[in-house]
Amino acid sequence: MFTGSQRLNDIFGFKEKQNITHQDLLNRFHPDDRRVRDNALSAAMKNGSLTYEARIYWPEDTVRWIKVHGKITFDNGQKPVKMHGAVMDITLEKAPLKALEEKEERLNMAIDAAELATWELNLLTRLPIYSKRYLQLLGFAPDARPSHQEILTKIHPDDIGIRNEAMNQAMKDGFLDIELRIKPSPENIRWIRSRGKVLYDSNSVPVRILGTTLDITDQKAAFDVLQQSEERFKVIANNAPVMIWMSGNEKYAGFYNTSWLHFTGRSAEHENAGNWHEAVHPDDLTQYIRVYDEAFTNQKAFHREYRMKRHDGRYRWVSDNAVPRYDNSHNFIGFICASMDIDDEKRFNERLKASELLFKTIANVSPVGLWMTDINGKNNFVNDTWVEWTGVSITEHYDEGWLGAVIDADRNYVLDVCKKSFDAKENFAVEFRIKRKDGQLRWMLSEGGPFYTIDKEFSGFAGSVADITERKQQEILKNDFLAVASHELKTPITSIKAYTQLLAKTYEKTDNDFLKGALVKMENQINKMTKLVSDFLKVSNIESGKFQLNIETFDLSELVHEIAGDIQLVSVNHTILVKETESVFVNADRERIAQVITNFLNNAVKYSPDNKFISVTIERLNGSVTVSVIDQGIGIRPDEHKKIFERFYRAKANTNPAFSGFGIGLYICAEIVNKHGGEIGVKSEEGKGSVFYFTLSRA
Amino acid sequence: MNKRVIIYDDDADLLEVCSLILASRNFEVITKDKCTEILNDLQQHQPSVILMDNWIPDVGGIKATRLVKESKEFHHIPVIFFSANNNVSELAEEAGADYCLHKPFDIADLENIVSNAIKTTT
Repeated sequence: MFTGSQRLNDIFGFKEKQNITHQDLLNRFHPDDRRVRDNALSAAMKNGSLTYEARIYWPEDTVRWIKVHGKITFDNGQKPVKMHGAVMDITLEKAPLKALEEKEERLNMAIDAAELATWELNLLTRLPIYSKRYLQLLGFAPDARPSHQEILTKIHPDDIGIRNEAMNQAMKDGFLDIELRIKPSPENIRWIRSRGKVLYDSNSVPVRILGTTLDITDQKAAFDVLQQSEERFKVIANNAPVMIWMSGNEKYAGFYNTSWLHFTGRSAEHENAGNWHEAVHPDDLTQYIRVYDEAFTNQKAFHREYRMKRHDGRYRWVSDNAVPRYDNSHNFIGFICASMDIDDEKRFNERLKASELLFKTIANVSPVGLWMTDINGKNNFVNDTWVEWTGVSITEHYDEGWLGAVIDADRNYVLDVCKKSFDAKENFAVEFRIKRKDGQLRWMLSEGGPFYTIDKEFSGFAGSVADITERKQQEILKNDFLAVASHELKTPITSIKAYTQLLAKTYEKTDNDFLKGALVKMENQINKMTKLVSDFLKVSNIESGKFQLNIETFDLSELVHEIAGDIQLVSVNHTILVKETESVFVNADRERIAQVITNFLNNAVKYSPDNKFISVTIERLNGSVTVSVIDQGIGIRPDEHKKIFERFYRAKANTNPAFSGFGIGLYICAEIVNKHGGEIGVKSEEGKGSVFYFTLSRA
Repeated sequence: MNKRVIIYDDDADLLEVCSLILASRNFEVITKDKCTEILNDLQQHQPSVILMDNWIPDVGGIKATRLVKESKEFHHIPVIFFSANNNVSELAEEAGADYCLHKPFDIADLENIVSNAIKTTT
């Protein structure tokens, strides 16, 4: 029969007031400890005293320690009849003990795992004790029993000093921690780390030192490599022209290169103390941190542009390009980032954008058309003004599409002028007509020229197109007015001149010298006035309206013959001979060139009063043609050869009143020839005659 | 040889002085201050040479010259186109005239050109 107290129920994990049997208790014993109980019980049956400790477990797997003390009561026949006792819950007392045991066990396991070599040295007797691993480490046989002195011979000679110093220090501190090289065999060097503890007697005299030794050769080698590569990286990073920072597992940067520190003007210590963000512009910081956090979480590369304060207090735009770093085991270990000062670039781009916008705005509100070509002369830009005029969309003007707006009659000529100036990379000006979108025919003046990059590389042509219809109309009006004015002035002069000459003729034989003289003077003045009126018309044409050439293709030879014929008609006293009959075609303003030839021939007639023979030659040379008018007249002094083409200049020798004039004829000729891109000149010798010539390109 | 010259010009003084010049060279001169009735004039006077101004009432020298040059009867009569316009030669060509003379002119030029015109036609 079994009876138990309420406390017993508690210890064994039964409910209060639950009736339990002896068997219920037995069932709760830890299977490993049932034998302990059985053994203790058997012993108690003999000596009457029961003592044991055992584990029991509760239904919820809680293991508890109990201590049992009991007494056996025997009858007279030494037969046990009753047993009573007490059970104590000693779980709490048992726990630290258990932990200690486990700790020891773990330490042993750690020593095994780490292949720790252990040793002990009696400081009084100098007798060493060592583990097998220690012997193995130093290169002794497993059964060797080396003396302390023998052990010391294994230390690398260079490191003996380090060892002795460390030992001396250990005697004072009580601890030894040393890394040194040993030579297990003459040709083998290894790194070891020894750590030890000094034990003292009651008089504080060191008696023993015991410790462990670890072979750290591999770690050391790996560390050296790491240190070397880290050093190398730092040298490179510090000399790099970009700013570099690195962050580690702790998220925020732990390395800043020299460029970075120069830029921020701060120390590495300051930056490492978590102050890196001080330089970031407040408006950019929150966003930067958000992007960085996200990149860190996802271990993903990121790019960020933000403003950072430079050492001089100015904010500069900086661009960060960061990539995640991984160790050999592919563990994420933070970021490495190259930061660049892109402020100049950014501001340049902003200025570029602004100037582009400005250009576009100006171009599109410009009252003139604007255009550009690529390096092949193909149009790649027209402004809104031109689009508005022509009523044709921008893309349709590209390449040679813009020519579609030019009227048929002018198109080939315009294309020709453009191509020629493009090939020669020279400026040009060309007038043409377009049909405006409202159907009106408008006169256009396009002027353009080559443009170059900053490296002086040809980039194409650019230019403008101005609507010159009004100017053209005014020019016509002005020309009409001048024509009428000169006509009206010349009409009375005609009568005066005729009457004067008639008078002179009538009084040819008079003795009245005054009358004769007066008539000569009158006629000279009339001639002067006539020349004035016609020259005025010509000069005004040249100077007022940037006189325009009406270029056409014509036969120069035919023109020379025609003019020579006309002048021959009215210069009956001279013989004009043209020594060329074959056609020579030129692209020029026929009327203006006629003016030049007429002027040359009139001069030849005028300045060769005694020799009546004048010849005209037309010579071809390569791509050009030269027309020369040759007289055998009074000639011109060499120092005046250039001056005679200047405005209002008249040859000095030319004092003969018979050679009246305004000194403007050759100036007009020079202007006309120059405008054609030709050459004009004179070869002359005083008293022998002159050769006036001009040269034009052949068509 | 008929040395009759008919001059068309609206300037009375010029007509007079030209008459005097040519008369002194034994030309018979008829003057007209407009060319409205040119074909009738030619019919009536049968001149050997015509001197034609450009700006003359009422059809103008160019049209008048063309009328002459297009007529079967008178196209052979040489026309000297004379004008104070700067582009006389062009105008003369446009009109179909045979000669041109710039105003103002030397009287010798006038005499020569008229003589020449008559010579070439006869």
